[in-house]
Amino acid sequence: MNTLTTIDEMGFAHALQQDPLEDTTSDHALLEATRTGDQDAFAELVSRYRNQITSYIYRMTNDYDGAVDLAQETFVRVYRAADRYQRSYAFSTYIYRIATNLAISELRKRKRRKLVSLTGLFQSTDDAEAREFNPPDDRPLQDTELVDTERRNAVQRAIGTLPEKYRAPLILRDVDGRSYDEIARILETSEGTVKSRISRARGFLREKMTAYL
Amino acid sequence: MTKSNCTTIRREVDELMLGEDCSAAVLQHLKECNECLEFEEKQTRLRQIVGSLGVVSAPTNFDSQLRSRLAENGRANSAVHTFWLLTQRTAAVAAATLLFFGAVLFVRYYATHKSSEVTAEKQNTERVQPAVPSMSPQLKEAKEAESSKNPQVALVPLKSVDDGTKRVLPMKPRLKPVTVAYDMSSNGAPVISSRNATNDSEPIFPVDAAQQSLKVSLLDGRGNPHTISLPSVSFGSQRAVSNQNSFAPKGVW
Repeated sequence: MNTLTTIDEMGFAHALQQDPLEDTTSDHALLEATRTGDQDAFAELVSRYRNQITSYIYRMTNDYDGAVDLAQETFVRVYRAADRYQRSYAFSTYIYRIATNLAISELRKRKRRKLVSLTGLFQSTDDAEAREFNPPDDRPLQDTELVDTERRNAVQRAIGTLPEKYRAPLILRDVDGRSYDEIARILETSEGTVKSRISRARGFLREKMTAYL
Repeated sequence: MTKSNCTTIRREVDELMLGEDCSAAVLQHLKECNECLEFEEKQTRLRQIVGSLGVVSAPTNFDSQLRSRLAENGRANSAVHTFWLLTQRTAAVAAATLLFFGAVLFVRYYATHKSSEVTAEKQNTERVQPAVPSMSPQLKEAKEAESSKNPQVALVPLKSVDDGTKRVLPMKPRLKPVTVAYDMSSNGAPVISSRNATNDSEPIFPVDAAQQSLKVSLLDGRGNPHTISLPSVSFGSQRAVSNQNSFAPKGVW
């Protein structure tokens, strides 16, 4: 593997110019090439997953700058652990697992620091975890676009109030559209547990989004 | 419409992907059960809203930031690696130094302990070894004269004589030093003449010595006295003398 002093020579721009549809190289092959020192291969992996990972972490943490930082940390870890990567699972499962662990770790740090807004702070009836929730604005809006934006913001805030164990499977299922099997592998739990948690998460959201349903 | 049936139908609705067709049984149930139909509509609406969140794009400078981050990470890693190398070397040197000083201390302690043991043993030997009985001036003169005549005859340690009959004993720490005795059988006994006796104010033997038993007290070299008592021998007229003290008690002459 080349040393990191030559990282500047990475072909990120070159990789971005390529059409993803034309690229038939699998994620495994790209990571294998990264392991042998092919930095273009790593750049290709970054270009494939950066938006997905950033978006996923953003949905988890509800903090864009923090999500970008954690997404970069995810890729750094992938790069550093390229030698130890095993092909037993799909690369997407592998990178999502890293991202999930980082996001959950960040949420726990926040909880320790008590970085919770004082507005709308209340305790859940289900568990003792503190949640943040801003109730929807019931005033009539004239523009449909504004309504949609407001609704998306509301659901994002509502997701942010979910306990982390319900938040991750709900986002992976309803936002990213992943299968139960893949979610179970990412979260390292059983499929039944995933289904149960998603059902509970939707139940919470239904209660909070009554005004929009 | 049973409640368990509604639960099953709702679970099936819940597990479907958005836009996925329901089974015929579910559709039939939804036509008949308004509560489940309402649940299905709300659920679909909620999932549409959640799904509308979509994908957030990464910032345009994501790649450059990642690049610089990887470079920083590499520098930090190399610094950490160097630090660990230095730490390991320092630790190795410290361990070697400690081992060296430990060995030196051990050797010094061992040597000191050994020499003190030897000194104590020597002192013990000197203390236990009996002093050679002092010889009278006559005996010394006779011995010197004898040795000048026959130089081969000298004080021979008994130990060398006993070499042939040495017994093999089990190994035990030697507590007492070997007592050295001297063979003086070849030396002549001092002759006490009557002239010597006249020089002294008192006779060598008391007048009634013939009536007493001869007692000789010997030290065995270990500080234990052994008394040998020889019966008195009388001749002729001596037998007329009273024989009451022929066997005097021990220690009385």
